Formats: sequence, structure tokens, C-alpha cells
Amino acid sequence: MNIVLLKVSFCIIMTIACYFVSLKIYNKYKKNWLNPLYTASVLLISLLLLFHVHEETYQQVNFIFNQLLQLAVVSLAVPLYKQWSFLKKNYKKIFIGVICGTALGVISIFSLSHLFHLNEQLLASLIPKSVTLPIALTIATDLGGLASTTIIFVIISALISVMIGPNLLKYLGIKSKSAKGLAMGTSAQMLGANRSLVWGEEEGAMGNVAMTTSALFLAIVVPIIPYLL
Amino acid sequence: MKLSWLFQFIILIGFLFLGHIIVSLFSIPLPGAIVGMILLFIGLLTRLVNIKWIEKASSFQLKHLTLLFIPLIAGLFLSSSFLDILQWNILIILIVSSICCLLGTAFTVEWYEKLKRRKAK
Repeated sequence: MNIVLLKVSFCIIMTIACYFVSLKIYNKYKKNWLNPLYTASVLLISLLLLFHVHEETYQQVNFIFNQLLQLAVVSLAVPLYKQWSFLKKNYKKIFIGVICGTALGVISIFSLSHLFHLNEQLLASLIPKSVTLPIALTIATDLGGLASTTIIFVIISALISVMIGPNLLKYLGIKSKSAKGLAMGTSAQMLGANRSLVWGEEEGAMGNVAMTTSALFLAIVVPIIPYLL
Repeated sequence: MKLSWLFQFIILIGFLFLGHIIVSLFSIPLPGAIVGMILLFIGLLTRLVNIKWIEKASSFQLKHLTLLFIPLIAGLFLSSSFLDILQWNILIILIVSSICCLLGTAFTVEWYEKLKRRKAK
């Protein structure tokens, strides 16, 4: 028992150390591709492989960080509150944008799954993938998907959106602050909201709202989906 | 009134617990954290909670949010089912649907803003 505790705390310290080292590197060189999210992950994964850390041990580390992530979700109420009057003025734009984006994402999953002849369980794990993690898990189990599979899909699609999203939006000439923030929040949730905070307060608030709205939208719509099939 | 770090975190943890309790009591199909966030937001709007009570702790957490995603990514690469699930057709679905979602939102919002500007003229 003590050894397990020691291993877990070692992993926690290693994770935090990797993050701060990467943050220092990023602050020094200020390059986009040096984002701590990528550098720290690469660093941490290589260290974990080097020390032969077992999958189950790291799962326990993940459990602890997951509690902190939940606490961070609660803290998101603060930027939401600070931007409230601005958001109230723009609620139509937010709802239309988020609902269209989420719907398009789900429709594309449906049509591509039919094209590739995926089984229903895989489809059920795929549908909630563009929603913030804790909500995605509840939706996936409601639809009969696998929770562990959904976690992988959520993280990968958020990573894809965060990696190509900002450049793609710039390339396509989208300049509107709201459009950028909402798009990132809808497709990459927490990661996207975090990324849009880098652009500014307005984008950050939009990203945050988009994350919450798309999650609420899917949580309400998903129970209806089985009747449509 | 300014509260110390510890108290600021205790307030946030309290809202998280409140969210979890409400979710399990009324069996709401939402995660406790989101309900906790909505409760805290309502508290701030109704001035039951002063923003100064929690501002420092929450902005600290949001500043270092990236740290909390790193274990998820590391755990992903360590997990044994990772390679079984990830085949090329699923990867294509993930990429295409992420782009659809991203661009669908961005273009709808831009189109809406343009429409509104034209109306204003």
C-alpha cells in the first residue's frame, strides 16, 4: 500500500515538474508549437515509459487530477460572470452558432459511420465526442457506448481541433472574435476555451459559453436520438 | 473583504460538492461539476457570493488549466486499448467531424454577424 502511495505521489510530482519546465521553455521562446500542452505531454510520456510506470498506477494519478479538473469547471463561473452583460446581448448568435456546429458534427459522424459500416456501440461512443469530458461520459453510457472509448475520442478530437483550429480559422479569413471563440469552444471544449483565452477576454468568454451550451444542447437532444433511428 | 487562498478553495470545493449532491438527489443527467458551476454563477449574479471571495483561486486555476490536461493525454498513450480502437477509419471520422463542428460554428456566427450588420445599415 505504501509503495503504491509512493509511486502515485512520484508520478504527480513528475507531472507537475514536466508542466513547469515546459511553461518556462514556452515563456522563454514564445513559439506556438512549444505550447506546454504538447511539450509537457511528450516529456511526461517519455519519462513514464523510461520509469516503466504501469497503466493502473497512472490511472490513479489521473483520478486525482480529474478532481482538480472538476474544480476548475466550477471556477469557469467567474469569467462567465464577468462577461455576462456582453453575453446576454449576444445570446442569439451564441445559440445559433453552437447548435449549428454541434449538429453538423453529429451529422458528419452519422454519415461517415454509415459509410464505413461501423457497429452501433462504436457509433454510440463517437456521438458525444465533441462535448466536454464529464458530460460526454454520461451521454455515451446512456446511448450504450463504452466510457473508456469515449474518453479517447473526446481527447483526440479536442487535440485535433486545438492543433489545426487556430490556423484553419486564420487561413479562411475568419476575423470575428465571437466566431473564433465559439468555434474553438464548441469543437475543443475545455482545451478550446483555454486556447481562446489566449486571444483575449471576449474570445475566452465565448469559448467557455460555447463549451457549456454545446454540452447542455447534446445532453438534452441525445435522449431523443434513439427514436430518430 | 479578502479571503485567504485556503478559504477561496474551500468555497469552490463547497460548490462542487453541492453540485454533486443535487445531481444525485434529483438524478439530473448532468455532471456535478457543471451543476456546481451554474450554482456558483447564480450565486454571483444574485450577489450571494462576492466575486472577491473566489477571484484569486479561480484565476489561478484557469491560468494553469493546461496542467490538468497533460495527465489525460499521458494516460491515453499508456492505455492498452488505445491502439485497438484507433484505426484509420475512426481517425478520419474524428478529423472530419471536428473540422465540420469547428467551421460550422465559425461560419454560422460570421454569417449571422454579417446579416445583422446589413440590417443595421
